[in-house]
Amino acid sequence: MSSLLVLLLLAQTADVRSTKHNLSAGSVNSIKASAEDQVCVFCHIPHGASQSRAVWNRDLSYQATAAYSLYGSSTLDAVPNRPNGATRLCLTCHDGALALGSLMNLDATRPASVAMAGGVTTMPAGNTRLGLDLRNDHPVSMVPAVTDPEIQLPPAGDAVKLKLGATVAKDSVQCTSCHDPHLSTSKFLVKSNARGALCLTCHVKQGWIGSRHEASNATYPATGGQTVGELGCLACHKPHNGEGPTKLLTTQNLSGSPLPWAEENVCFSCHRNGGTGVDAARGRAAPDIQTESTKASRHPFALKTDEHQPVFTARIPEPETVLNTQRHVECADCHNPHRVQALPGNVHEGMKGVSLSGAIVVDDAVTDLKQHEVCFRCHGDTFSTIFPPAPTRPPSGSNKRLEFQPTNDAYHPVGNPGRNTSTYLNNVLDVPDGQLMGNDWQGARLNRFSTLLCTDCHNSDATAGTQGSARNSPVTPKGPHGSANTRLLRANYSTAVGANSPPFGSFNPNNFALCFLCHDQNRLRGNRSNFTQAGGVGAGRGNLHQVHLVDRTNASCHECHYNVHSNVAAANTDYRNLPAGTPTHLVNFAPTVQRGSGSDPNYGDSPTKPRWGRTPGGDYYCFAGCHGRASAMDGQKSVYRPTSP
Amino acid sequence: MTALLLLLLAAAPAEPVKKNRADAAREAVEAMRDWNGTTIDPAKAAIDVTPHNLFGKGAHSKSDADVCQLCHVPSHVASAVRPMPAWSPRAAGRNTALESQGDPSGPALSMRWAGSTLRCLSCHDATVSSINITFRPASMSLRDDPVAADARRGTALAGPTLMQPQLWTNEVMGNHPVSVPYPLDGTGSEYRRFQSRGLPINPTEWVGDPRTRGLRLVNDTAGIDVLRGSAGVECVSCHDPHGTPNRFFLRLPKERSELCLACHQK
Repeated sequence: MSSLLVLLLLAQTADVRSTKHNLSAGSVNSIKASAEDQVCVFCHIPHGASQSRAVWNRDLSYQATAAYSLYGSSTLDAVPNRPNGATRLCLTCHDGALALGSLMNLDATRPASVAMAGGVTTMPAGNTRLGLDLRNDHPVSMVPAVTDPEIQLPPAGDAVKLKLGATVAKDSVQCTSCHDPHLSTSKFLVKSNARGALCLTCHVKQGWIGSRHEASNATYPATGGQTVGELGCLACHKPHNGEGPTKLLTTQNLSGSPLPWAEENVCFSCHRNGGTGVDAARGRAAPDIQTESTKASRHPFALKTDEHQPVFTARIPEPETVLNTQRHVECADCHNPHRVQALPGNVHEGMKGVSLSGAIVVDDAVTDLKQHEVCFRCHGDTFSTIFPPAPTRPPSGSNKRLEFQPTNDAYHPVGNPGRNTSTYLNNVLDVPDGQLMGNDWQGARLNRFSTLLCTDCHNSDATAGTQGSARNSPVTPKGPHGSANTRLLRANYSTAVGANSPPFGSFNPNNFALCFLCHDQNRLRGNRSNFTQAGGVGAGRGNLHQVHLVDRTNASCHECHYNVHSNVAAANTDYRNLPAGTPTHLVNFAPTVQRGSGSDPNYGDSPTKPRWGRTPGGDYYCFAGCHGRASAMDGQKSVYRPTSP
Repeated sequence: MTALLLLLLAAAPAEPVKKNRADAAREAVEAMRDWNGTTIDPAKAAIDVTPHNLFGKGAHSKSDADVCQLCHVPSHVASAVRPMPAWSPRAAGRNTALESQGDPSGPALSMRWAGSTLRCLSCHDATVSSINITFRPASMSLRDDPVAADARRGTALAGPTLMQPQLWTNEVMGNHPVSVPYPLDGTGSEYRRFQSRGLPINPTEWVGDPRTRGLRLVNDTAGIDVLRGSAGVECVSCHDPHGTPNRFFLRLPKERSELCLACHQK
């Protein structure tokens, strides 16, 4: 009996007859002949075949003039040729030009036509009909460019092989490099593509192994447990007929219809609500960035499609070294999906950026790319060329790279500790009840030597519940993808100004919730401020933050700290008697703040802008007409001297 | 259970059968009775009912020539005048098949094509008139063309049986290769000084011994059994010019691609 079973197994050996390439009437396929029962004859004929090595039974002559559109990419060094080699053979069905039953020779009838079941003529529409437009198909009929550091030739003996191309050398990628049309494997692949093994035979993706996507155990809802990591390259890429017109990307995550084509939708196919199952090792599904991207303030991923060029390749020169001159932002402008790490790892792993000094820097094994270096790709020197003017910004634009230079007189401490090392800011080591609260992005208590990330202020509004750096927020997703607050701020920050009156009827800490995530309002308004009029000169009103915010004017932070990044471009501030290098405490006036009327009692001149500086005696003072009112300050009352901490 | 056994046995591959020519002919006659709906009178199951009888079906001979002499030289002819196979010199500006090169730097195909294939091509390369029979008594007349002339040389067999090799970048294309090695028993062969391609042979791609399916392999050296390491494929591997139950002189039916799959495991 066991021998009979063996015989049975032999009789059922999977060969070409068990594949979709069996077009004979006896097959179980939906696409098949109505009566012809030969199998090989749909491709091969021993005599009277086309002029090819494969005794091909389909006419190849039309291909000489067929209007093929070939794959192209700004990162492709190799040159795809007009289909040659075995690719020509495959296309006689798969480009949809010829009827499937159109043969060179059948039973000595030339040419011959075989009737197909169900009235099928040419290849029906679907993934297998590549059409004449090959731009959304993996390039073939090309000699791989091994000068590209991301390309390697398949090792000797590998199932993936280079094939005959334009010459008699086996030097070209053809359909048959990856597919064997006789195999009964999935998609006729010459070897399994689990975890991208087939693709990675030729494609060198440094850092892919162990990256978040490669290691992901999150499942697609509809694939019965197949995970992102198991799908490998195919989680995002589709080598044929992908939704993207050129980049072999797909917006389908197998759980439903593809999303409309847009670069961000490649990512959103998983990074949406319910896009994946829960990765048990992570305890959560793919972060829902799509919802973030619909919030009132957001990076405008949907602004442009097909403007973005790859920014993370090893190719030199990179197609989009700093940024495309065409304004756009896509997920891949900040993240390298082949190398990205999950927080608290480097979400910018494998990216390039612009350093504070203006140099192009890369993430490498020694030095992680810093977050602000990614931001500076767009928000640095190129700001004025790609950001349209907006009423909320100074007309000159705002070059964040210059604003965070450590030589500036004041800046929020992005990249370097800030200039103001006053113990009023303090930290737990200096004074236990320092003004700052919460932890920095590395988990240490915030202190006057801490540094910030751009995302400590610009982040999802969901992170507003955590003091200090947004990195310490337990919510997912974090990051500057979108926020309900203006300017992509993680908490509310009112920039209201009053017209001839204070902007607010009363003090409400929620107006400045953003600032108060780090600057403890109780201590800022209490005794942890060096903006203090300690008597001796003027009326001695005490803590002037309290006076401005609460007691007298209900001002906004924004009016005196107009640009909280830096005061390097303080267009509406006249600094007086400040020796070079004096920290300016981020004092710079909003455009609505008027110059003081008359002449400055300390110096007798009439500045054209609101003034902040020091008297000849060394006291700090303001000379300004606040809130649109002239003569709000008479000069003497505005002099203050900090108390000792 | 018995039915199951029969089913299983029917699905199993045929038992290997070694055939000599007589056996094959006998089987061919038997197969005619069995052939799927096609009834051929066994009495006419001979070359004279095939297109290879240039006298016309059923006509065994004309005057002093018989059907065999269309291809075979009678043994009583003195060796001094015994002709070589019947291909003629180059005709009007075209290469004969035998002068074509399969490899730009290689020898003419006459060095490669061998044995029975040369005999087939003596007619089927279409460079020779179908009636240009070397040993032909003066009185011999043929059905298709009573005039023994070369006027139709090169066109005489234009049509489905035309096997003229076509030159395409100096390669003969459009026909299944012949005079090529066969990896008998999964072993790479050297045949006519050509080695099997794709060494080492992947035994899963080839039927170990197509002879067990009814096809024929040829040895490099006449008179010796076909051996692994030196087996080859010629026209007669698939075709029997003396007639078979199948169309096109095929040794196996092409239906369900049985013929192709007797060598190729795809």
